[in-house]
Amino acid sequence: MEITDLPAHTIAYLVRRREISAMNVFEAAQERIVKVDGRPGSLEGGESLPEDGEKVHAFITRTPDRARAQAEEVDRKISQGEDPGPLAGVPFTVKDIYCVQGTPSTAGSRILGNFVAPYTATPVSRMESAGGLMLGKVNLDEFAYGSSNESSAFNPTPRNPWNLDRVTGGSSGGSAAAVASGQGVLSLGTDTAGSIRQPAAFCGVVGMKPTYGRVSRYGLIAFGSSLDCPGPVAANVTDAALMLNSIAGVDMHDGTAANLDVPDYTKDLKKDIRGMRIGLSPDYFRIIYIDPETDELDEQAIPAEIESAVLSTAGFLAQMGADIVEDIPMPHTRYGVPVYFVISRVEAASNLHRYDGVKYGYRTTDRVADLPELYRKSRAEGFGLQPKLRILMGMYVSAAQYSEQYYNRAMSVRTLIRQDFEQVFDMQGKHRLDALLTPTTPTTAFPIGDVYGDSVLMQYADQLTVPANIAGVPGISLPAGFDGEGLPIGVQLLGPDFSESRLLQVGRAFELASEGEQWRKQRPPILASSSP
Amino acid sequence: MSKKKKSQAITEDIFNHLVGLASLELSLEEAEYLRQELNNQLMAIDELEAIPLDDETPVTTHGVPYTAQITPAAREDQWEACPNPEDILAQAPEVKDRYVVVPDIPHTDLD
Repeated sequence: MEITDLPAHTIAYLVRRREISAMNVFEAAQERIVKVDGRPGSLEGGESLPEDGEKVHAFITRTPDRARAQAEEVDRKISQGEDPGPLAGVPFTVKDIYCVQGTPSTAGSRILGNFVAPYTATPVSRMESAGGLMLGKVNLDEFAYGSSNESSAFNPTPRNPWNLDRVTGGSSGGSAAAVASGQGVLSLGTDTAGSIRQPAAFCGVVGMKPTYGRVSRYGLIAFGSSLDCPGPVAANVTDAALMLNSIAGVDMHDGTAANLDVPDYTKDLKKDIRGMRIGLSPDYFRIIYIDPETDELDEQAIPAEIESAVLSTAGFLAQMGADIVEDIPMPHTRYGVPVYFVISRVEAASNLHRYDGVKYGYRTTDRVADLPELYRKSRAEGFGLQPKLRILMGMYVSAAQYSEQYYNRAMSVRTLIRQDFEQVFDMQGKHRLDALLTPTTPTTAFPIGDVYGDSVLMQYADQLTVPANIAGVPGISLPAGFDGEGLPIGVQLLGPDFSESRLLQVGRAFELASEGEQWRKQRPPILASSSP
Repeated sequence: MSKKKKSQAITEDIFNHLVGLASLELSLEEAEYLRQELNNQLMAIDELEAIPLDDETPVTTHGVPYTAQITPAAREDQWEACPNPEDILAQAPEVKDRYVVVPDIPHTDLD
């Protein structure tokens, strides 16, 4: 097995014991990138070339010099008997929506194409201080607006390592694709409606959206400020726990970072889950959406293969001693997408007003008569279609004459969605769940080009993940097998506020129980073909 | 399931007004696509009208309630020197003598 395919916790262990050096890890990671990634996304990427179809294209910016210096520092600390940190020598990537000092920090948008961050986001600096090696910045949907990574202005956009003709999911598509192809064993993503969990499910890796407030957003380029959550993308549950240990916690730079102790998330992973109550809700086994052909509201059961993966997961958890509780009512699940359509747009429009071609970022090169024309032209040329769509919708639903009907109503329905979770997790209530087990996505990874352009259908890819963002509760997506086309299926665990430890514990129990399954041994074809 | 009529609530006039407010300029093709997508999204949003809400239902602005226990104390309002003002100025598209340069700002009389 190559170093890049080892778990993060094993790499850190071996580096600390001097069985391998951080420099060995750095070199292995660079080799892997050369083997599988192909050309990085760029604004001048142009049309897809035939050879692009054979590579992953996770990166926008690679930072080998930074990673090499970090590796040298880890090795120096070890040789001098200093503590190199819990992520010693662990190679990781960062979604390019985080500011990292001295690196282009683009949000996948032309409007930030030339922006070099003057400071570093808190979660990134914490991973670097913990001894991690930052390999670079990975692609995403423009400003995280999308569920397929196809809206990035930086081409070529990432491809799914399990099938290069399929999307990675999004918006943290580069993160999930990077981890799935061993280009860094951890990645820092963000989740506003499912943007960590959905691509993790599509790419067969673990992705966790922590509770809102668990991880500081300082240095994160804002999308929906009441929804955005930084979180780990990892190859397994233990690594996600290890990464959360590093990034979680109070931060003087972000007043929403909760003042709450950070437990050691790896501590409970071995504890058994006997007696835990895990719920299944029929409201998560169907999706309700507007059929784009007929404009009719349509209800569909999720595909049988996904349903059976969830039920099989429940079976494994039952074997480990959990009580599976069926028929849990989550009646407002279907309103997650409409609520999100309103709240996220208002917040996005507000956050995007700052891009004006004056202080930083893209400025039109056309001659302009005055400042308003400079704004209009810079924004028109700098933003892609998805940000424009969100700005316009945000302005419409928050306009004085419509806000009662839309924005205020959406915030009230947000309360109802939150109450669904509060009721089922209430330890004095009827259901007393420790966690809810659901599918992560209503489909597996769809073909590139199939959905992009239809903004309504694309949003429904998030129907099963977005309620957690609206309610603020934590969720984790875990690989749970493959469909008939060899595409990964993800299952999701949702829990009450700040129950990350328990979700990770249940996730680890599922990994242990299903350890012997044939599907656990599968690797993405791109790794099989690139192995020496 | 209910049959829905294709919404055109966002007319060209409303749309053009929004484009102005958003400080954008759009090609005809972009405008047509975006207006249609907005109207399609509104149809999805209209589902919210089906939910009975009483006046007692409070609004939620953040999912997680920020109790006194988990809300961090406000930090001291202390002046700190920016360690790298040149890096920040270097981001501005046009700078002269450490001032950010912009084109003419039209004079507007306030009522």
